[in-house]
Amino acid sequence: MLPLIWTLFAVLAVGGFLMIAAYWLDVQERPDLTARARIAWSAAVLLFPVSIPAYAFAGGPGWPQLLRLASLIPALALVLFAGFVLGVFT
Amino acid sequence: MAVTLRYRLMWGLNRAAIRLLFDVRASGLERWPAPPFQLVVNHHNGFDPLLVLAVVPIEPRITWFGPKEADFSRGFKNRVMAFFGGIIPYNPEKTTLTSAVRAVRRVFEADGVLGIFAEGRIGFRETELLGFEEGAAAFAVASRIPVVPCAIVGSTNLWFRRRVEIRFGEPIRTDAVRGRDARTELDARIRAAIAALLPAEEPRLPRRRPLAFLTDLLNGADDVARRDTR
Repeated sequence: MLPLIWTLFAVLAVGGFLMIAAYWLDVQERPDLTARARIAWSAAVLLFPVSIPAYAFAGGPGWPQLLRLASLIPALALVLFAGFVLGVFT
Repeated sequence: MAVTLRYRLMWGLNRAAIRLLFDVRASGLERWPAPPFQLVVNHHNGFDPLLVLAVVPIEPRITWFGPKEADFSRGFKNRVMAFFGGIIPYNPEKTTLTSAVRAVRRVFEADGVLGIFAEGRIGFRETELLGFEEGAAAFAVASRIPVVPCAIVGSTNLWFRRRVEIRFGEPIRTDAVRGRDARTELDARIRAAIAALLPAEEPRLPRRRPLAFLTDLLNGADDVARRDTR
């Protein structure tokens, strides 16, 4: 089971990095955001497990369902990482 | 051209990634003649070769002519292109035409397809073609192989799941083309054939364009600057 979880983690980690990049670049490119909102969403990248889903579902970027679901990937990767650190998977 | 394992892998990865990012569709693939032939394509974005590769079959293999680079060992994009293979770089200041012609001849001898962006640089309007670079069809004429006009519609502005259409026209024979006037007329015919595949009106862009940064992700800095100063 452990190799499977590691594989899943590796895939989610790569996907998570891509989602963080996509989130960041999308915030920079949105013409409808005020400067203050842009700075706030940019700074919120530090809280990426929460801020990316919050942006996707409530930030008004107009992301389709697939991207909204993908916005949960960084959080899922982090949960798995915490599982490894805490020794949940043995 | 040989379809190597590396090419097969990269072709599959590209197809999966591009089809996930964009709603890319092809029409006119059934018009393709037996290889070898030359694809003459309009150019709106650095994604264009990848968009075409995402809808065409793995064989015959397409080799792209003309990335204006001399050194593909520098820069992420160049390294990926070099790893993917299937490119004939041609920088008029640094490479000779003779070596490029030799490489093109090898493609045709191996029943491959040569892809060429005849405008030589990217345009910013879906309904217009820029002027063709000199001798866009010269390779096809020299080898007496047909030219397939191709129009990419929708890649000027890209966003997540943007519809992009790759339209292939009727093949144009070149075996009867002799002399400068006939070549000029052939260039005009190819241009008209691509223009006929373009939309009549510029598309209206939606207000919300998710992941709009994709538009310039693979565009060169000079292209972006050229667009922004228009």
